[in-house]
Amino acid sequence: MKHANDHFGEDSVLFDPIYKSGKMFYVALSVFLAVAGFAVYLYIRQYYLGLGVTGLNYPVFWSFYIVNFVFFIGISHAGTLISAILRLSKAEWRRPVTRVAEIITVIVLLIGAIHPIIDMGRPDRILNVILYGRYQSPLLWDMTAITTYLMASSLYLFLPMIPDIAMMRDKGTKFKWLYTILAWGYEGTPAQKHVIEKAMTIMMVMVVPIAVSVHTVISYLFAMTVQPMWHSTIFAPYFVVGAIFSGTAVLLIVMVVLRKVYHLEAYLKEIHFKHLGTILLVMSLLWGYFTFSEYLTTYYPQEPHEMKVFWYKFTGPYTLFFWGMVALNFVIPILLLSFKKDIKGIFIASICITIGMWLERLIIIVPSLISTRLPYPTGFYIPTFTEIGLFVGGIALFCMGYLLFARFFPLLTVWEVQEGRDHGIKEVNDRLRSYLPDKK
Amino acid sequence: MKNGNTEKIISILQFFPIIIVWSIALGFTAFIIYIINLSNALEDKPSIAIGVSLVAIPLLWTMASVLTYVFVGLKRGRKKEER
Repeated sequence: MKHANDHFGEDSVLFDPIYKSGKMFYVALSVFLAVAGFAVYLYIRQYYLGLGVTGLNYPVFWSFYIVNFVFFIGISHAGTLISAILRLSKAEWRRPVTRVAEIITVIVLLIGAIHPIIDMGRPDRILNVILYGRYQSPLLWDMTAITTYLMASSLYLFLPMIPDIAMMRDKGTKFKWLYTILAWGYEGTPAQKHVIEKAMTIMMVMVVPIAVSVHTVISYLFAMTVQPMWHSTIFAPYFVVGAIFSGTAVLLIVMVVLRKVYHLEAYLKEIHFKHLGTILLVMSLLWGYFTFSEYLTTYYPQEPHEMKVFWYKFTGPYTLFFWGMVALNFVIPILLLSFKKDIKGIFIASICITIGMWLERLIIIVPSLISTRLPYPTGFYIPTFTEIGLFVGGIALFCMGYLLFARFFPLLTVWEVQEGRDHGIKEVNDRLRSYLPDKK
Repeated sequence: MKNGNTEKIISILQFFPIIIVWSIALGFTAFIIYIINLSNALEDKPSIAIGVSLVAIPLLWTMASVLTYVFVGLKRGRKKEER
């Protein structure tokens, strides 16, 4: 029996989600749509009833929504940054990984950027930022950095998609009009290839500092205040490391799921997981180092306000979350990634890290706020159903975004895989020879 | 005739991302200039806004230019081959 995507040759499996999607696609889409729809209902309810439906109350004015904001923006570092670094360093194993990562960035950035608006209670308050904004506020730095990063990530996702879109326009049977528009007249001529390569190189170089700046600026939201355990000089690199750490973990989870659901075993091989697992192990050690430094420098001077928050985390009401974070981000991943470095072990470690990094955001934000320095009682914070529902809705939106992307575009960079097959092996050979001493 | 019309519509739609990207770049530039003017008028310190503008505006304009370069380059690349 002939299938619509048979003329894509040996890579036809990469086009299966577009040309062979069955009932399961609609079932999954309906489930995610229902969850996201319920989250929209919860938000509308919050809009009418006010922030009273959340657990926010003096002195805890930032919590679940801001935790999720930092968490989602952190995950966005998985994509564009990792993809750009792998492309710049000419890591040959990058080919099936880059697009999987880039899609995460764009979807998650959009979801993350919504959270401060949800946290405002009234979305019209965003107008105040535009009409009366002051660049002395790190909030406005954040807005600028995220807008720039979103634009950079979208372009960096779109440019390498053009040759694949053109392939679908020429060989595919569905959505031809859409691909004709998006392919921008690409025909694979040497001049056109040169243009795409040149533009991608410029974007690769630009994306790295932009991505680093985004989480640096997010850390400044906290570090620029004089709240205990927020006012820290290492917060910027600590946040950047945490972002890459959580981003890589989510990338690995997504890769495992895509491999299983779309039968991409021939493309997303164990070696790709092992390489990314090594990055994850290094990031886990770096995260442990930063966490140790952060807490040691707080503990050593014994400043009373700082110590109050410190003990909240170590032995107080947040002890379970704190030690859970240490176990999930450091102890379990290091054991798994050192001794059980197969796909299953890496997948379990990635799930642990994703949960652990969410806990890290919670541990950073909430305990510093419940401890009051004015003579007010110590605060307490428990999230409500609305806040949890909106978080679950965010995850459903992410899954839905990915599912819809897979319905229209290949999840792996097809031309890059083909290029690797046709030219990569010779190029790597030549490069390797250039590293070695010349024969006399 | 019908083909000519379809091609025209496709060309217009293809130009859409360029319009969006330049709108964001120019919109943000206008916003930053407005913030600098506002801080001047209120005798606030515009130095930080100027500092941010020195980084953000060139970045946004470069990205918009890269996309425009790709758009024009792909069209030109195709025409050359057709000739």
